[in-house]
Amino acid sequence: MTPWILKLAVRLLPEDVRPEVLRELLEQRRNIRRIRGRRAAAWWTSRQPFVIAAAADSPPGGSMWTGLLDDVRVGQRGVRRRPALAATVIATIAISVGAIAAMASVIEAVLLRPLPFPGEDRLVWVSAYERAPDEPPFVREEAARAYANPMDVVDWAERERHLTALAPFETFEATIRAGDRPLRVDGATVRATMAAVLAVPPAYGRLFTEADYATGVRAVVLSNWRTAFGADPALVGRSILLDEVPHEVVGVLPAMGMQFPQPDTDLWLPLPPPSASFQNRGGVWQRVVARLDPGVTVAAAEGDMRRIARELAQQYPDSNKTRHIALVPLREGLVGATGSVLWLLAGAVVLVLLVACANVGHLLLVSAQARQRELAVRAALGARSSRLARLLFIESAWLAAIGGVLGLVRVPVPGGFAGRRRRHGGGVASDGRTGRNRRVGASCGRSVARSVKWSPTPASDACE
Amino acid sequence: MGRANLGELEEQVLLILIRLKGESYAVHVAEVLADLTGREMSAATAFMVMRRLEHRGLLQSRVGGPDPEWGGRPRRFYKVRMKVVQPLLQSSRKARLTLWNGLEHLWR
Repeated sequence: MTPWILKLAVRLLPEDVRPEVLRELLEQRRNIRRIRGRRAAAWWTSRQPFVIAAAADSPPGGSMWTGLLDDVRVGQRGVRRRPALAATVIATIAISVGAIAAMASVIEAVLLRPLPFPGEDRLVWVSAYERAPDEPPFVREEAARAYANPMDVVDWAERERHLTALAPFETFEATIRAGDRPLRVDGATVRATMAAVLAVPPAYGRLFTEADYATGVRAVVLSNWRTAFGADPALVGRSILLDEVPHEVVGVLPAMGMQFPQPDTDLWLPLPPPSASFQNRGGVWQRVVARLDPGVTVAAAEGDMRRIARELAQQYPDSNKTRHIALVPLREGLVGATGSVLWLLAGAVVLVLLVACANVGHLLLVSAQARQRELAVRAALGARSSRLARLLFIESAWLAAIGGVLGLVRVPVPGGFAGRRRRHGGGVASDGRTGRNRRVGASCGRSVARSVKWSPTPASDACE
Repeated sequence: MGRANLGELEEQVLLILIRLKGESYAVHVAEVLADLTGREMSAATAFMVMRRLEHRGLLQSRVGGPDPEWGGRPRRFYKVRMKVVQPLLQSSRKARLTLWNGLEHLWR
């Protein structure tokens, strides 16, 4: 079977040599496939359009780059000469590129970008959920958002065998005084084990130790210190007013990519263990995150936690008889069902992009039909088909570049999981710069690919 | 009207054709060039270079008999016109050697 790419490529050559060159190319391809394999032959085939374009466009003393700048200038004039067509094509490209860039950035931020914690795959939500035998089975997403009883959490920590650390937390809102103005902040009370779970060292100072849970000590770790405190490193060791009560700043979490457990968490306070007199095993209000031991699977750890749940059910039948434990990977808990919805939306946006591609292609083809006379004159004056193809390509590249750049203006960059998981009490905020760079690269690639796809066809028609 | 000098690729194609008893075809030239120099060349490039050399009067082509590799279709062979090519190659070699003279440290 003749590869279509070679058939197309030889159209760049003068008509009288095409059949012979094509046969020579096919024989060379067969030889390469026989000696070096299919992949080498495929790679060789994919490069032939460029090689043949260069061979066709290299008069004595010239190269394929000869006259390129002239073509760039002429291409730009060509765009300006047809403002209605240019505006339509640019608007179509800008809208479709903008849509897909926005979608790509959301998917990248939500599903693909790694969380800012070392060994992210070992982090899990540990959740207790109530389910009687006659009730329908629980949904894992539901378990990922379930709360736990503080006494249960103490028992889990004592009896588990497969966790490196286990850290409960609660969330709260408070008012701090930054300078002379009050500021509403979101905070979390966390156990000292949170440092071992997240395995992220503080940017300044330290995280909590067991000493911080002693009566009378009021320590605070700042998570978002840029907004309220102007990113002042000297803040560590100083006192701030939290709900009008002085607290000592003992540390600052890393500023980039690190706001946990909620994307808008501004500070951490120590979460003391339940006191000896605390006996409420019925209520649930804590969330728990844990780090698995190296080499332990989520399923193995979950099996161990189920054993603990059975023991607690026997020990405390009044409160724990219908209480189960589930372990859900951190990312799965954060993303939930949003992942499949996002992929579905991405598919829809890709379809929109394809429709836009087809529209732009038709517009350019119709425009080229109207230019047959101009192209024929160029060909009659000695322009090779490869040169005409290059000119049309450059015109299309101008349109694609302008549309691509316009499509990227004001595309929002989601900050990790910010805003998306607030209701569910979990989230991570992180820097959007990497995502923007990837998105810009991808959009430029798409714009250029689109211009490559449609531009050269009329040139070969004109030469014929 | 042709140029008096040879381009690098033209020179290499001519030398290979002479090595191949003065006559060959595009794929063969491209493969021998790759074997001898490691330089990958497309059969299309070889064909177009030989066609250009033919227009300059340095080669002459003939259509061979039915070729089984080509499904029975004839193949075009290019033959070197030694009387025209030899002075050009000599001049090209001389120019190269002159330029290299005194620069032995570059390859030793």
